[in-house]
Amino acid sequence: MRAAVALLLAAALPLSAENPKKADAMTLPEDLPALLPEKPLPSPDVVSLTLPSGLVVQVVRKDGVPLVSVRLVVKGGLSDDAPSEPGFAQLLADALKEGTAGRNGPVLATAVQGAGGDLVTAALPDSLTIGVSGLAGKTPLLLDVVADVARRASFPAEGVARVKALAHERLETEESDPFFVAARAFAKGLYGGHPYGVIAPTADSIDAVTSGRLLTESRRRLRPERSLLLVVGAVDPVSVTAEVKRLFGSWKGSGEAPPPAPEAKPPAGPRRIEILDRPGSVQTVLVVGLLGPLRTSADAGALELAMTMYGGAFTSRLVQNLREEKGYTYSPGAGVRWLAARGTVRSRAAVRNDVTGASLGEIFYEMTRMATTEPTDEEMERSRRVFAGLKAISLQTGPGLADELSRLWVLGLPPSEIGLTTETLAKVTKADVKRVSKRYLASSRALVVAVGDAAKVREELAPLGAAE
Amino acid sequence: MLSAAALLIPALLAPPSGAASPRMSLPVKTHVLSNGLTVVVSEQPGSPVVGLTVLYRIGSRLEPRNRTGFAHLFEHLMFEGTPNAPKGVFDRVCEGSGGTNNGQTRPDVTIYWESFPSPALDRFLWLEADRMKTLAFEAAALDNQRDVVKEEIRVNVQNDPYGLFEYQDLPKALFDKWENAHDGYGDFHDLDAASVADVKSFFAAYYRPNNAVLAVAGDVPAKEVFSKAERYFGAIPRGETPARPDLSEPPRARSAVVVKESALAKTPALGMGWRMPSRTHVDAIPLLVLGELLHNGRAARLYTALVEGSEIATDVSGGFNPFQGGAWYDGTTLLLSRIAYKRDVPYARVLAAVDAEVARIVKEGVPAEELSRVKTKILADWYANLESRFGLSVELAQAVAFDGRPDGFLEFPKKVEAVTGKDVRRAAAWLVPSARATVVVTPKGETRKAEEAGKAGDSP
Repeated sequence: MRAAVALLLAAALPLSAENPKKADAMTLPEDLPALLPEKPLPSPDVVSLTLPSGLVVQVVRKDGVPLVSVRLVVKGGLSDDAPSEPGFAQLLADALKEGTAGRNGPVLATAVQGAGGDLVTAALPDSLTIGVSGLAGKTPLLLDVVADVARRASFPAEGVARVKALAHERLETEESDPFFVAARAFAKGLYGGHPYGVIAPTADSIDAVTSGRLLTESRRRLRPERSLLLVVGAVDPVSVTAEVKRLFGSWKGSGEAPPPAPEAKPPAGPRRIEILDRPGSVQTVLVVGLLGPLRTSADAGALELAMTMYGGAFTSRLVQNLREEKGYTYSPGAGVRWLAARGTVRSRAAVRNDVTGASLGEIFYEMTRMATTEPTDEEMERSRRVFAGLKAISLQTGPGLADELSRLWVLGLPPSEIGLTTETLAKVTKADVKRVSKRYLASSRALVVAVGDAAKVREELAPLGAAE
Repeated sequence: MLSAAALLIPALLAPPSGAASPRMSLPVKTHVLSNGLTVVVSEQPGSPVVGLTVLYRIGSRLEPRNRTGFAHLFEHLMFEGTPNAPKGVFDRVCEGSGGTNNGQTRPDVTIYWESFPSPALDRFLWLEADRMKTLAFEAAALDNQRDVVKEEIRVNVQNDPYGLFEYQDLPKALFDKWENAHDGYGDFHDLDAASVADVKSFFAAYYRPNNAVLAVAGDVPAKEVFSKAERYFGAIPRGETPARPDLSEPPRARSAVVVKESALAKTPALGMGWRMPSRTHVDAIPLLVLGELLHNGRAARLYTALVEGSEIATDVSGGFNPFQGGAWYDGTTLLLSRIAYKRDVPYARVLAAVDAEVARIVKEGVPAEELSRVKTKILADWYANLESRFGLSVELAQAVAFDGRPDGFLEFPKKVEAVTGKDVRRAAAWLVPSARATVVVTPKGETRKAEEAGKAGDSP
């Protein structure tokens, strides 16, 4: 592979720029065929309704392969966790698969396998998801499994013990992964005591989890008025809707619903560089960034385009500089992460030890160049095309469409916002890109996390402001 | 030559009563240019997106002997420019057209693919034809990509706690033939030795139209793709037909164990592999089903036994032909079991637990209900892979490359459906302990512990 796109960023990938003059001067081959006019992105026909309980239901008929994706997306997730129970939502998500009042864990697993699917639960900063996919002909069974897990998860002692043991093992494995260690420190450094400051449980918080707590919290957190049920696939929306009403109509939460996470406040102060020691490491993982805007902000479109040209595509400035010109790294990249209470704008690169300082210097240089000079017309058009194209590509499959609809809903946006509309992106000007870059690619205020062999890396980073 | 195959593949399972049987329309048409390039097209209405794959019938197994990693390094150079489109143009045009691209070097083939909005079809055909004509062959680009490849190896292998050991180390332990055993990522010494002359001769030997397949899936008419393929690729001269040595290997006569320390790993893991028969062997598809039955998902036998039952392991993965997918391979491939296990568990106990599960299948067979579930899952995953035009184009290209026609690909669901419990039971006999090779990765300083514990089982 030339670039590990999927590993790097949720949506888009990296891109370009030697020096700006050289980039502008690139002439395309004379006999290169012309690009025909763009075709509009087909807007999916989303059948949407809200049950009296508050549960939002979205069904999209998508023919092609005889498959279906069913997802229950509950707002909250890791941001529902109390400071005294870090990462609780992750254990809750895992433990949901351990069985219900009517089906134990293995029975759930075999039922889903027989429908051609997998039961997947996940806790993210803003959501907890119960998802299952499989053959469209098995939709009633798949819906029944999701309803059963959401409403009647029983957290049997044996299953909870297993989940806790696996969580310890996973934590131990993650501790050896420099990307995880960097992400954890980056979240803590940017968000501090805000719920987004925690991305995983600790050994102590894993030990403290009990069946009783899981049961209480699942009924308190999983409730219809903060949930979306999404069905995408080769299905008939009318019969799916009827089935959903039957399975979820009487669903209620108990106790007091958790409040939404408060809006995160950007940390004050100048750049900080945090070095985390990983003895024997042959590379340094660098994460550099700041808090971003809300997705509802007027800056959203401009920021997406800015990040696409800065580091969100293969021809982006950061990738061209660090990888194609210098050969410092295999897969650098950057992107916006949208979260309901303010996400991040970050750059990432794993670079070899002896170019750690040089790489960070180049990252700062490219951030500053975005913030101080306007891009070219060609860069604007290319970024808009690649952003729109990658969206079209990701929306061609049912799971891709389900991902997009889930993300929008969690951020409080309607399905009509799919992909940020073409009109929104077309309106963004070069001045807009420079303006948002000045704010969100401000290297003087960025947090830098470096995970590597500290003895080697500290000296490399000292000239850039790392504490001795 | 023009051939067409189109069929509606019936759903795998009886649908709920009253519901129409789900079907997937998979029209496939092929056309061979006079220079030997096979063009295969599947018209897919709906999204205005195209998946395009150019597959070359050369992978890491057939790279030159003193140039390990060369096929992969070469893959990178395919993006480094041509006399017509200097370095940077390819990606600039690709992304300026709203597309994305990548390359992947597999054991037997190297694939280059793009996904893009369909109005850019001509541009992508032009780009692929341009780099099939000739490359820039510049020393600076070779040096730059040598560095990038080394970084790729550092991030995926050297800096990773487990270092892709099942991909890097297990083939070395399992196979005898150099082609099958060597490391496709390559060692740095061999990468450093690669010259522009090597690049030129590799291109001339393997990157010719008669050794390639062009596959297109999307909202474009097949006739139009064929005529455009003629226009852009038609004048590229054919080359010699490359030799394809016999890569098959009989089952190992005795087991082997390699124990490796990792300074970065905090918990142990092991990978075991068995040599597999040819992909046309009567046991090949049953072994694919067996691999799924043992490894895939929480209901899988090994997960149930080792993770949920005895709780000696934390994760299980693997299956048949894991590095190329499906049943596409030359000669032999491996069936892999990768198991992450607990620190206080000797590896011999993990091996014994796997052996016990396999022995149970040999002795008792597999219940019909379980077999049906597993086959359903395989076919649902197969459909899911074809849902993106990119996935479909890769599959079509492989079908033509390995079979010479896409029919075998279209018959996959039928072949899986036909597998019986008896077939799986017979196939399980391939997984005998004596024919196995194992690589154990232990946290640094724990080798002695692992070896002592291992004495009860296979000896290194």
